[in-house]
Formats: sequence, C-alpha cells, structure tokens
Amino acid sequence: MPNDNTAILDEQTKADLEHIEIGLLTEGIYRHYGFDFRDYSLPSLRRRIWKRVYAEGLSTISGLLEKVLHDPQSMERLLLDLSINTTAMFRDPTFYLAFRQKVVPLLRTYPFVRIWHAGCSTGEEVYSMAILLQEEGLYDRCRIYATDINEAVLQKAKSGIFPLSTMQENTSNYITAGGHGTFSDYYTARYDYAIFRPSLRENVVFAQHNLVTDASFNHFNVIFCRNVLIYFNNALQDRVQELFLQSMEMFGILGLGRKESIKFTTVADNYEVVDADEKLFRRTR
Amino acid sequence: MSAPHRQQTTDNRQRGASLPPGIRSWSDGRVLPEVKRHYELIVIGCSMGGMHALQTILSVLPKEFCVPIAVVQHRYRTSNEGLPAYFRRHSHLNIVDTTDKEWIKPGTVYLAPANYHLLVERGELSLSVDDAVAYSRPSIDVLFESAADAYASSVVGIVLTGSNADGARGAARIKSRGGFMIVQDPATAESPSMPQAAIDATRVDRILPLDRIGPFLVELCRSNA
Repeated sequence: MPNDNTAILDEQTKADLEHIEIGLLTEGIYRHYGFDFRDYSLPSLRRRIWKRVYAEGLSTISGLLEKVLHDPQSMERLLLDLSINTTAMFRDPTFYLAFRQKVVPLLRTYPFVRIWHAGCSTGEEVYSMAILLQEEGLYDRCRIYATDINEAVLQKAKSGIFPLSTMQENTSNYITAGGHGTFSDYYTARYDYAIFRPSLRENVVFAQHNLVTDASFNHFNVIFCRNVLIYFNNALQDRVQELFLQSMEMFGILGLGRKESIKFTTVADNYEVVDADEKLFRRTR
Repeated sequence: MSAPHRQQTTDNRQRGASLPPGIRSWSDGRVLPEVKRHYELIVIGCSMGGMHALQTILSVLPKEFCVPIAVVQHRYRTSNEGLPAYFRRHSHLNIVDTTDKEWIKPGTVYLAPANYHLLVERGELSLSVDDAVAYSRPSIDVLFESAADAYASSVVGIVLTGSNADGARGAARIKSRGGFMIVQDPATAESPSMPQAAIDATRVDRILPLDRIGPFLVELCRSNA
C-alpha cells in the first residue's frame, strides 16, 4: 500500500500535468478559433475549465481539447463559460453615485461625449449608465460603444430584456446610486421579464470586440471596464491598459471595478485619482 | 519543474522502504515532518460566528508572525469596508481588504472583499465575480482549492464556525496536496456544522478548541523564522 507521501507526490504529478493540459487547451483554441485565453488569470481559468470538463461528461482537460477542436458547438459552450461575467444593474451603486457627483459635472463641459463600455457582458450596466445620463440631461450628446468578446451576450444586451426577478435588487441599487426618478418607469413588465425602454439604447452601439486581440477603434472621453481585468494575468492587464490609454482622450475618465487597481500596471503614472474607493481615474498625461 | 519532483518521488519511496516496523508512513510517526515544514500561506474560512472566532485568533498572533494569511468570512454583498477596520483594532498584523493581483506579503492578513471570490496564485491574489459556490461569494472552497493548487504542501488551512458546508471540499483538496488542516472543535463553535463538515470530508490534522488555534499557529510556524 502506498504511503501518504507517495500519494501526495502523485497529486503533484497530476498538478503538473494539469498545468500542461491548460497550456495545450488555450494554445489549441487560439490557433484554431483565434480566441486568446493564454494570458487569463490561472486560478479562475482553471475553475471554469474544469466546470466545462464535467458539464461535457468528460474527465480530463485533454479530453475537452479534443472535443472543442472537433466540435464547434462545444467550443461555443466553453466560450460562454470562459467569457461571461456576472453583472447587475447599478452594480456597486456607490460607483454610479460617485460618477454622478464627480464625473457628470466634467462631462457637462463637453459638446459631445464618447463612452466605451469594454466587456459589457449582458448589458445591465450599459442600461444603468444610459438611465443615469438621461436623468442628468446628458444622454442626447453621448454615444456609448458597448463591446464584448461574446456575440451571444451582446444579443442579450441588445434586446434590453432582463429577468423580472432581478428588479427588486436593481431598484434598490438604483436608489442607492442616486436615481432621480422611479425605476419601474424605465421598463415594462411582461410575464417573467422586464423590457427596458428602447430610448435607452438609442445612442448605444453594441459591437463585438476582443480586448486581448483587437486594436483600438476610436478615442473616448470615458472608458468603463469593470470586473473584466480581474480575469487577466498581470502581463495581459498591462497590455489592455495600454490599449485603453491609446483609446483615451486627454483628461478622459477610466472606471474600473471596486477591487481593481491601476497601481500595479504600467500606465499608473498616466492617471490621477478622481475617487479612490470607486476606482475612478482621470488621464493627465 | 518536473525533473526535481521525479527525483523526490524516488527519494521518498526509498525512505518509505526503510521505515521502522509498525510505522505505516512518515506522517504516522511522531517525527511530525509536517510540523517542521516551511509554511508559506495560511488560509482561514469562517461564516456564522466568524467575527468573534477570527478576532480570537488574530489577536494572539504577534507582530513578528510573518506567514501571510488569506481569509474568507462570509459577509453580505453590500457590506462596506468596515470589516478590515474592525480587525485592525484587534490585531498586530497588517489587515487589508484585498485588491486584485495584490502581492502576497509577510505579516499581512488579506480579507476577501464583499461579493468577490478570493483566489490564490503563487505570490499573488486574484479576485473573481464567478457564480456563488456553495451559495457563497466569497466562497471558502474557492480560496482553499486555489491555495492548495498554488502552494501544495506549504499551506495551512483552518475551518472555523459556520452554519453550512462551505470549506469541506477545500479542506479535502488541501489534504490531498499535502497541506496541513486545522479545524475548530465543533463543540467550541458558535455554529458547529461547517467545522463538522470539514472533519467529515477529510482526515484533518488537528481539531482544536478556538482559544488553542492561535497559540498552535505560533508554534507551527516558529520554524519559519
């Protein structure tokens, strides 16, 4: 009977193998499909990959590699697993409150405002921003470019239809975020869904864009990228921050997730802090 | 990386062959090789009753205690930054609400932020907003499993009071990768089901009353100095 130490070393061998297999899987996906997950942050990537391995009824990551290479539909499913980020309307309401109080006054001085919402997922936060801008009387001179790597979630975002069950939380977020009106005025309830007013997406362009492989496509006064960079490793975070910097007008505003930071990246010196807790920054060089 | 591991396998098998009769494995012997190991990270999970339990442990760790600690305390989604401030009043260590990709530094306690999972990579911490695991975000399993994957046998895991089963899978992973597992004696837990679930899930190294855990950690990590 093998003793405990042998068992632990076998576990180490398994861990080394897993590392190799994750490398092969991401390389294979990149070379065949062009999606680049090679610089994704390992611990989250590992969890998401294993979830898909089991969901496909497989037992190894190598098995998943074979399946996704030969069966594009299983690749679609893996893509959803790897690229969807959970979101909510007015997620972290104090962020929107700070945006209203500290950024909106700056934007009022501009004749036209271009906003890039990078990694918008199913669009809840895009509609939140549209509501905020409408209430501040700024929406008519804004254009929001909402992008995501994943076409399927963009379709959802375009529809503006969200589960009615989330509206209680959304309403409470809206109020904390400093909403001026009545949240239910912005949607119509139909069966189990809330259909948001089409006027909210009048100035929104939804488009597929891959932060890892695609280039800058415009210059913006505001860039949001919230809770997306946490899925990237340091090297990739640096690259994407360089992409944002290239796409940012001087004195433009960068908004990140509550627990994200630019201080560990190469662009840290290009920004000053607008609100430290809410992770709002302003480009100064 | 793989060559040294293979070498080690052979070494251990040879040592295993010369074990004294009656001792099934090194960890059975009173040599306690695990106690003498160099620990690089401590991970702690707690839920209901956890504020008091954590405070009890953190307050006895001295300023010189240098093994970094990552903590998941289940908390409400909307709870603000009050938790770090609370523990700061009761600890000599540096207490931080973790930021993504923060380096793991000695003498520091990293708390999982509200509504994010906390994950461990070698040398740094990362966050995720993936779905809740075991109904929780942050989830203890997510922290423990990633810590076991990154630090293998140099992790110490601790499951404290709580009223669910989060942490049980994570405890099993830490043990399977050769780490050291401590569980609060359910009899001393405000809510015993979480420590009990960890005990049921794997062969833990120590089941200790709450007030013994802090002093034990000090002893366990003394060899690190």
